[in-house]
Amino acid sequence: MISAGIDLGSTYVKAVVMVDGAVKGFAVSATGPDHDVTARAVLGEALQMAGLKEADIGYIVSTGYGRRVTSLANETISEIGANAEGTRFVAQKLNVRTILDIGGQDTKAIALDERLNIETFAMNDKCAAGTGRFIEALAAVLGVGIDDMGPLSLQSRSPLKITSTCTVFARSEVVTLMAEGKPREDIIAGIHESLAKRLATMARKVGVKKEVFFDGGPARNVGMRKALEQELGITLVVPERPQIVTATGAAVLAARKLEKTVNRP
Amino acid sequence: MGALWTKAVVMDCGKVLASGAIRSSMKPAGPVGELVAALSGKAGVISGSAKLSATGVGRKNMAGAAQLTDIMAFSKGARFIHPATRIVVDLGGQGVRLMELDQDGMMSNFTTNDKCSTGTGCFLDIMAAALGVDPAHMGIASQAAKEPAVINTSCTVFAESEVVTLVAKKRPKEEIIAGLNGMVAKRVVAMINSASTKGDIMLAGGVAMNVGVVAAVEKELKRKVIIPLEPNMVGAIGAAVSAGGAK
Repeated sequence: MISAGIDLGSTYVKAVVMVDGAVKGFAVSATGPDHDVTARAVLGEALQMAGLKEADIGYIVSTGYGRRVTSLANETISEIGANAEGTRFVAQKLNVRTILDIGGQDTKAIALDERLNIETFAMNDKCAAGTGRFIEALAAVLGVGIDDMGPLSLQSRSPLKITSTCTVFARSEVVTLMAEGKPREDIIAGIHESLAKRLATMARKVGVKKEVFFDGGPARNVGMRKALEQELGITLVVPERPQIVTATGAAVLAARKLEKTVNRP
Repeated sequence: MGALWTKAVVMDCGKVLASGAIRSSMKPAGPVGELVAALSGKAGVISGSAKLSATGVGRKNMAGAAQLTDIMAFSKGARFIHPATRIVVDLGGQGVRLMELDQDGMMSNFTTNDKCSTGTGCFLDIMAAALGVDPAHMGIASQAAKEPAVINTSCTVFAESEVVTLVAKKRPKEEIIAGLNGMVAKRVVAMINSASTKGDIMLAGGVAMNVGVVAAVEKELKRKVIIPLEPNMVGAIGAAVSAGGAK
């Protein structure tokens, strides 16, 4: 039984191919000008990894900001639902009660009940501060690759405070700090702390209950994890591949649909 | 001495003799000194003979100049230009500030937005860059628009992406610009509407030079507002007035 999940995010498109309840292929690519074209390419890559062809897939569920744009999917689901589903799948035994997800253009805090159903959620998609865009924009100003932000920030002895909330103003602030000769690692650690503060405020709105699961692309950033753990005063559960949790959730849902079809008398 | 631009005027006997602006910098004392000297020359005043007064976020860098707060400068500048002014809105590079003045020109209330870049000069500069349009032409350009484009996001960063998408979809630039000017106007009008003072409204600051924003504000308010000859000089004029330039 072969299913696929595609998460069409604002910044990255992720695809997961599942075979008999296990992830066999996955791929991630920056969102191009055409969501559908990117989705096809990313799914192709994931299929190649799994050693399969598109015709082998029984059911495809799409999710994310651009989920309705692709013609590939049999069905769509909201990213909140897919994220919760993916979390249940990758952290089955961990009793996760809170999911914190930083996306490219939004951030979500999802509270789950004891049976791992969605209880409530909070979301910021109005302001770039507090989303992955904040880190991305400031990394560009610093001339640091996005994947180097985490390791560099761990070298910081005294993180600098970024006082501006607005991403645009923070950009000028970082330029000024650089011109003043402030250590790069201290600036980066300050950027992570600023984002952690905003995310923590949102998390407290839905209630922070253990275990707390942290996913989305920025969860790969060790500096971001550390800052968020310090801000919340807890240890986070971070999956091995935080960026594809939501796509995995979509693939799980697709597999369930297939199961129902197969079992139908 | 604003966040983005430093403006200077030379005044004597209640007349602005010369005015000019340069980009603000981290070490402003030298360039601003040169600007003041150049303007003094233009005005036929011996450089160094004039009393100097500074305002704005960078004013503390000007040793030897009397200093006054932005609020004082805008209140004084607005009343000097138009004595009946009761509300003055400074549409600045990094913030929007509204000052309510009583009959005597004293400030009675003050509201500001300096946390978010949406609707500031910086917002329009970023959009002009994304559109490949000279920031100074953003006002005139929108007047040719048939129908303003709808920009769904208010955040500068997200709106910039939206503008790039609209350009890719071949939406005429003037319609996008009209949409952006409308966004700025909406924010300004919301601030004006929450003010309790009634009377003449003046728009000041660099963004008030944008005729598209001004037209959209007047349309929303359904009334005329006062736009000084040089809207970006209102704060500098207020500083010059406090240094005795009105006499």
